[in-house]
Amino acid sequence: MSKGICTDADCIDKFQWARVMAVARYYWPRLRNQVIAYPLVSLVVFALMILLDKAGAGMLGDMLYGLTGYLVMFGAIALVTRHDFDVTTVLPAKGSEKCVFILFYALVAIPLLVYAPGNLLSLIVYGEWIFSRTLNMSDMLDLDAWVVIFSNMLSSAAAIGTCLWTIMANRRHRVVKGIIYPLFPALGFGIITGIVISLQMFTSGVVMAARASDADEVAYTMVNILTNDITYIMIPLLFIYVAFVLVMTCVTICRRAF
Amino acid sequence: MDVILKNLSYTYHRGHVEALKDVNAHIGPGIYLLLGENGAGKTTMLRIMAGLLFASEGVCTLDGEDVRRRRPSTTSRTVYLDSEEECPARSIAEFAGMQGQFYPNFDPEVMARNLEAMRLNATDRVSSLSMGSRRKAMTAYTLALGADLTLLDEPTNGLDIEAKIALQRLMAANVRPDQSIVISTHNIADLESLYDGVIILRGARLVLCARVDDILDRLAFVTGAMKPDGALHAELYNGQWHAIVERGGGEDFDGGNDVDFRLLYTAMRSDNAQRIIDIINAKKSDNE
Repeated sequence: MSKGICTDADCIDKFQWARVMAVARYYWPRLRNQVIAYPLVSLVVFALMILLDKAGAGMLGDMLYGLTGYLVMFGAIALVTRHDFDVTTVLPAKGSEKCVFILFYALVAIPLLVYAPGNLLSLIVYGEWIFSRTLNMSDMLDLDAWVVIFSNMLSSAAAIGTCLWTIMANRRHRVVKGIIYPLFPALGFGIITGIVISLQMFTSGVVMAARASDADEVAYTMVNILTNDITYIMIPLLFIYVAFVLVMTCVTICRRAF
Repeated sequence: MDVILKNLSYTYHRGHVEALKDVNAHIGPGIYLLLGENGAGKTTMLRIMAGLLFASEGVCTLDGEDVRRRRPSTTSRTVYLDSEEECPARSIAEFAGMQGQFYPNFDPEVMARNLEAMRLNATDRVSSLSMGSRRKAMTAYTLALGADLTLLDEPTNGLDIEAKIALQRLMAANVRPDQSIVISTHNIADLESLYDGVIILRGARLVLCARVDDILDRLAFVTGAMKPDGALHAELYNGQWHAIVERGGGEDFDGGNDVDFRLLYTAMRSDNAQRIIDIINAKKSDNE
């Protein structure tokens, strides 16, 4: 028995941080490579971004930055190995202890491993965080910076949560399903976005056509209105969805039986 | 460890397939042999006892605690080794470092000894081992966990003769008197001398759960050239009659002090099964 875990009758079934650490040690051998590789990949990607920026191909750099999002979304797949479904189901820890570690790793540790090294590099080279790109974008879009950041975080959390729920709830083909299933909510939110855009185009298009004479200004105003509206509609929807998948992930970790 | 199965039922496919039906049993300390035909519900029963499946009806308790709650106080005392389970780490040593920390009775030295008896090393890469060696390694490790309730599904599958002998020795050396071990197997002879009890399932129902002592108090398992008169069940194989006879019927039987599990299993499928069960249960009731 690991040191620090209380095994006395009055505390063995209570939540223990020592057992959360034991759960972390259980998963550590399979996470070790990820914990080493992610910051290295992050540094390489951000270094490339800086080089591309200097070469005047900043757009390519932004695309690379987008790719790091996939590392975050599907990073939780590292928790899965082929033969341990039963072992993890009845691993002698409370469900809440397993949930704390798994959610912390997927939602906090992985994003930090991916974004922290690159941002540090950016800070050293440019004297600003990569995040400030998002803030600049928020200026362009006439949105509060934190709204944009919060919206981005919720979008990532939705994908991470779906991936996590999928790999916890499925016994077979967990990796493939963990990659495919997050596409469905993305598709769902895409459809909602499409509907909102269509409605907005119809209503605002009528208004703008009446008052605007400059085509560029029409396009700019339209993008702004659409982005604003979509962001404020999607944030509560994403929030509800993220809460739902995280609760379902924990319920699955605690109660799965097959 | 006292394991109690009370009115336990389990159905698959939304109730269309009955895997276990109204099973009642009390499993005390000792090594129990779990027998049943394919699809009788052996693995389902083990998985429910391990907390991996939730019974559709009824309850399974370990020392009074419902296993489906999966409290650390019960899961840290239970281990289940599936018939096809493979080590989910690069080596047994690594897996022991991951999982062993949750088991209060786990002893790395015992594990090393067990592996040595199987001619294996804890640091051997699992991927470099043969199927049989992986099986041996997992069994040796599982026994070293020292769980109060150890559930083994077909532990001798894929083992060579030497490994079976080594496993028999390990079981005899490792098992504490307070431990309950349930072994589901079709290879009765592999660990025959070790069993303290037997559980027999037939068509999703439990037909017998008894300790060897209780069985031998009432029944004798005899062998001879002639079929004994009044045998409860008899079969001719290997050129001899093997029979189950009731003790205390005025006749003394030489030998018959070991349970012939194969014979008992086939007897439980015969027309006389209920009579044999009644005789054993009468003895159990006397004891209780």
